[in-house]
Amino acid sequence: MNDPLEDQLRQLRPGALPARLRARIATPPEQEKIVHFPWWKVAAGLAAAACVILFAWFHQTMQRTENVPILFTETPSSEVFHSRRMGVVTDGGQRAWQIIKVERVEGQIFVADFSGITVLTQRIRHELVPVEIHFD
Amino acid sequence: MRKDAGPIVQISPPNEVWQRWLAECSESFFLYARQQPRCTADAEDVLQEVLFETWRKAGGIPPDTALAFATIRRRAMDLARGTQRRAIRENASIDETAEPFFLPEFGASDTHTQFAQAVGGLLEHLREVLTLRIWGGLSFPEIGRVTGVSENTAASRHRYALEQLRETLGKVLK
Repeated sequence: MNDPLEDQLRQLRPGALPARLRARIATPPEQEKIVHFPWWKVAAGLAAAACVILFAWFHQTMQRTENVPILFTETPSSEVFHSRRMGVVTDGGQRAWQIIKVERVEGQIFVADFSGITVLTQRIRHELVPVEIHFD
Repeated sequence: MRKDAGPIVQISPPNEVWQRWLAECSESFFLYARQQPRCTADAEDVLQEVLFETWRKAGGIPPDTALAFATIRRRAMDLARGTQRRAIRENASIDETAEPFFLPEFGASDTHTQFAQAVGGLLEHLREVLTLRIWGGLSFPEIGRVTGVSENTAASRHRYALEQLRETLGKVLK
């Protein structure tokens, strides 16, 4: 059941729209056009994109594993930078050896390509060298 | 009369449907929108955006009324968050040049004016529910969804608003 007060309130009319607003909404907004693509166009587009991605990936991989021609190789160098006596071993008789730990660095320079790329490879080696002890 | 033809479906042009929808609802939407940002210019912007947005989303047909009210509320709150707008609103918290909430009627007695003033003097949350119920024609569950309160809260706010109006308009109602 309606409250009589509600009925009285309903008789109040909301204020009218201002003229400038009425002008702004005089016509309905245009509907956004929904563009439908046929399935085969979508599939073709996806396939093309996949091909491009595969090609790019393959090309990048190939570049990564490509060998650079070497033009010049320097004679390898070897330099002892540390040695330490580790101990003495005997064969149970008259012969004895002292064991020396030798650390040396081996290096080699490669000049690759005509662009003059120079690559220095360095390798550190640890070796145990037996040196016979001569008793006078 | 054609006997072989099927039922005739008359499709109104979009502009006609739009105009009919505006004629039915736009004034109550505007009434509600004006209560949100408290500035007529903001209310106009909000209402225009909401009318266009809800119409587009509904696919060119009149959208759900409760949804339109809820969108007005949300847009008005978004607008209120803008600092620049807030500053302007604080400077002019009460828009003196604003048009009255309700249309003055020629020949109407003072009762009409008193009713309008009493509604305008209600607390914001009570007036919001009253507006949605009386001029928006929404049910309490719909009002609850629009304002983010439960159906019972919406109903009790409406009841409380009517009680306050009765107190204010005591003599007029007698």
